[in-house]
Amino acid sequence: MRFANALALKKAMIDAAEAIIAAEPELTRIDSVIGDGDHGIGMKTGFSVLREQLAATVFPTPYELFHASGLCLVKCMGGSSGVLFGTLFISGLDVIKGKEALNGADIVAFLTKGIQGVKSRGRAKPGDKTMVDALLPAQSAMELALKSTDDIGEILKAAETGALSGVEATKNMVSRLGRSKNFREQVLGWPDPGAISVSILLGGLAKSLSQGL
Amino acid sequence: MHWFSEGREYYARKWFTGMLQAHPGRWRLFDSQIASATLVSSQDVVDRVAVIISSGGSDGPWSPGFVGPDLADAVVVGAPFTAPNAYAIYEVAKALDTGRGVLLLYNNFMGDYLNNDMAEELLRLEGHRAIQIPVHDDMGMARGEARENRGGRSGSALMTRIAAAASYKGLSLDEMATLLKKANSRMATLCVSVNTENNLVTFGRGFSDEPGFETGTMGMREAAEETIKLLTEDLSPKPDEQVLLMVNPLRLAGYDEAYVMGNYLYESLEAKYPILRMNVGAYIHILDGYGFTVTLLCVDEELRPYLEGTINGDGFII
Repeated sequence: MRFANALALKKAMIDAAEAIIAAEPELTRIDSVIGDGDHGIGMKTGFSVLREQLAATVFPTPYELFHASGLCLVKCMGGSSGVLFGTLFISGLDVIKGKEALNGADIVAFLTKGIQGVKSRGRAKPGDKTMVDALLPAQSAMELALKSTDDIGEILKAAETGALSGVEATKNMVSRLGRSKNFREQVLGWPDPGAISVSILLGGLAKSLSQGL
Repeated sequence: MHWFSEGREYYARKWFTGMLQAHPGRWRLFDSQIASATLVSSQDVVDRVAVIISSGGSDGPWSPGFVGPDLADAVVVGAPFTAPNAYAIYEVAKALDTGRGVLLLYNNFMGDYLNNDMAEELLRLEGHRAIQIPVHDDMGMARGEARENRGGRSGSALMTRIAAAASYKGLSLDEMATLLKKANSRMATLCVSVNTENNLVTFGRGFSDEPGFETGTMGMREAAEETIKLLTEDLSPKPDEQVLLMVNPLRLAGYDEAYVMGNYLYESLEAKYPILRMNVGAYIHILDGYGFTVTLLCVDEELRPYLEGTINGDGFII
């Protein structure tokens, strides 16, 4: 797919939300060992409301779709995760304003600004064992993919692969932020649940936008 | 809180409803789309900047007691020990913005910052001007780092007063932000906690139970002198500044003890610097235990007009 309009992107967001919802037991299992244990439930709650809301709404352009998605996550998920996953869809909105459909370069630019928004708002540095450790390799991977393809599915597939390498890397990291910092060395060997959620989200978008056309 | 059994998400709403029943006409509940609770002053925002404060849970009168005529215009409170929700801040800010903009004031903690920062971006996207001021007065936190990294403590009480006065005097949002940044940089709070069994005093115990940076066995007078020494070393009051002293008891310190401590502090400060005035009250109950948080604010000609007179909040005078 070389162009994605609001309808295709809406379907992709719904598919990604379903992937997050399905991953709840796994996210809960890991977060129960190294965190509060509430990451999976929080994600499931937020993305369930998102799924219902998107299904019931018609969006004229991708801008309205992602604006509503970000607002929904901030509102219904709450907490740091609600804000940071909301930021991912909010901070890049100005680069897609007025566009009827997005091409690969638009999507990379949109997500890159969102990723940088998460990084600056969350004040997490690479290596802090957070979602940023999945987002930054995802950004590099999709920027690289954009040089050789204009297929949105392939670009997002590359982002997912980058995120998964980041998830793997978080196993060797010790937390500095959030509650899991209290567990110090006990978190070694376990991936960061926020990073896993990023990879699932990008994977869901990639799969959905690889179909059709 | 432990006694409350209906679920923590209902707590703030029950709490605010009780406030409305006790003081009809002072506030109204904002019809929020989410579970967190929002209280709005009965005094409408007319052609001035709206001042919106927010906090997690209950810390005494801070924060909802600081909403009302001549104080903040609205407050958003999260569930107990949970940051206020960004969407709730955004929706009440949108409703109160008269076009002059919105000032978001909160204590500098990660969750409060994340949600206010998000709210600011959501407002900006829809053409509303918003500026956030994180209060960072706690000299027990982020020792050796920039002042901006400190957490917020009792100073948010004074900052709310200044912000409200500036709004009611008709300052623009940018002028208010400049004024409040100055106050923020000229203010420090020190926590003085006491083990009354052995008179062991700990200076600088942090909000999240950071251990404090100095301890000693001493009586109240000596502790007051040490407190003034530490605070004035941190702030170095300038010749053109007067000092406002604020004494805030921790949960187990009594009404009388706050004034006795206040008297010792006043005498110690008076010997070295001109005092603008002293405020004593339980504005913010942050830590259990016995002791006080003591705040100094250095007030120059520019800040003084915004601290004139006293204002009645809910359960305190400031």
